[in-house]
Amino acid sequence: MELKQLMTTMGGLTVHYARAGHGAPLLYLHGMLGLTSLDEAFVRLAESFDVIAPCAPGWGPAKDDLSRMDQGPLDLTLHTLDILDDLGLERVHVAGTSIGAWMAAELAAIAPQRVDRLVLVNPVGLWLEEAQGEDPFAVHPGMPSELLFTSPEQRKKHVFEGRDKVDAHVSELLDLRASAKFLWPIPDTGISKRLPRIKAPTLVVTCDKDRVVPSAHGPAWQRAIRHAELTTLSGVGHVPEMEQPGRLATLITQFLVERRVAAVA
Amino acid sequence: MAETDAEAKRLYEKHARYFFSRCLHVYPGFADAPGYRTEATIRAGLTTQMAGQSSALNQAAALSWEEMVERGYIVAGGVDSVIEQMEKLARGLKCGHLVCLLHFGDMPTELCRYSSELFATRVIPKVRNIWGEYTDHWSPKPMAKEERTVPRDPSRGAFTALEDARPALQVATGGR
Repeated sequence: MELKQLMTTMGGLTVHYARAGHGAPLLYLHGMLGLTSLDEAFVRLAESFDVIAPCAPGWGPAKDDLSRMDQGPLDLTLHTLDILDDLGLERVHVAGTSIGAWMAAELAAIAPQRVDRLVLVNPVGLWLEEAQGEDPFAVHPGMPSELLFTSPEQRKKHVFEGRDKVDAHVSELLDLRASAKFLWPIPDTGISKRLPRIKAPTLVVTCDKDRVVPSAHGPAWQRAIRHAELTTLSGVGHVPEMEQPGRLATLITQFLVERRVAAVA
Repeated sequence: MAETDAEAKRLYEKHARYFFSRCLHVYPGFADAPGYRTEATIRAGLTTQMAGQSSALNQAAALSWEEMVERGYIVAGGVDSVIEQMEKLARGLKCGHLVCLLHFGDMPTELCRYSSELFATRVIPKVRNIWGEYTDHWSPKPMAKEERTVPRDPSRGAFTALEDARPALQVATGGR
């Protein structure tokens, strides 16, 4: 995926982002492993939308910007608003996966007038005593992101294939470091009290093999957001954008276009 | 420590093995919280791993007793060879203060006492003066008598202690 660059006027940060396709603008916010291996889902979404996928501060080429962000949602959200302003986008669809879904929800809660429709895939940020996910940061250092995938082979394929082994492993660890800044030690971001502010029609997607955000989180997100639908993808874990990009892209497209989806996809 | 190398191996090998194979275990999830190491450190560690090297202490579990001693994972043996190993350490590392952990693994109390006593009576006198020509600036020494605090008489009780502190408290709060 080819990355473009812009410098935000207000924040003064360099943003590396992918942009392709035609149609309504769709801001795509990546998960814990950055834009790694988003290729296929991105291409599929670009068939129906003008997709903008920025690398968040702390991830990938923006790894050194992590220290510019406070731990809470404010800096990240302002940064995302800066990107929209600099691209001249007043109102967009927003889709996010994992930590990106948390950022998307914050954006929709803090600046509801900027978000048309919202898709949250395996969103982190709620803490449910009765449905605790596994800790994505207490992991074996030799296979740090394994928990996110349905099998060790899936991780090997998506993290290492076609890349230098050391570089891939280092960026895997750095991407998790960025996620940990916002989610460690307990992934409770305080968003539960801001969710009622979201006005955008929202689709919440959970995955039945997700060990980080158990499917049981789905109904909690749905209840807290005014206009929310919930659907569950079967047979996939925390990173459906990598393991089943086609299915996820279809689901996102269907909701953004028709505003409704089947409860089980 | 024992009288001979063979005796040391007989007495201590199983306890050293217990230490290296069981006491150094860390749950892998606690080994490396994200963000704990810099990128340069991560990279250096990966490069070392890929070259087939490892600095992990528990590598010693796979070694023979003789290799453990030879490679310096432990200092052990008969009196003469322990003196030799200690001297090699002190001179090789150019250090005048060695901190010795005389107990490891599941070594029983009596055995540890026996070993410690041999170390104290037969080894320390031989190595104490390795750097004898230098002044020791670093070993802790007792405080001068007039600087020491006199322990409070416990029979006077806690409230009396507060009474004693009152003048100091008044100074700190400007007399209020």
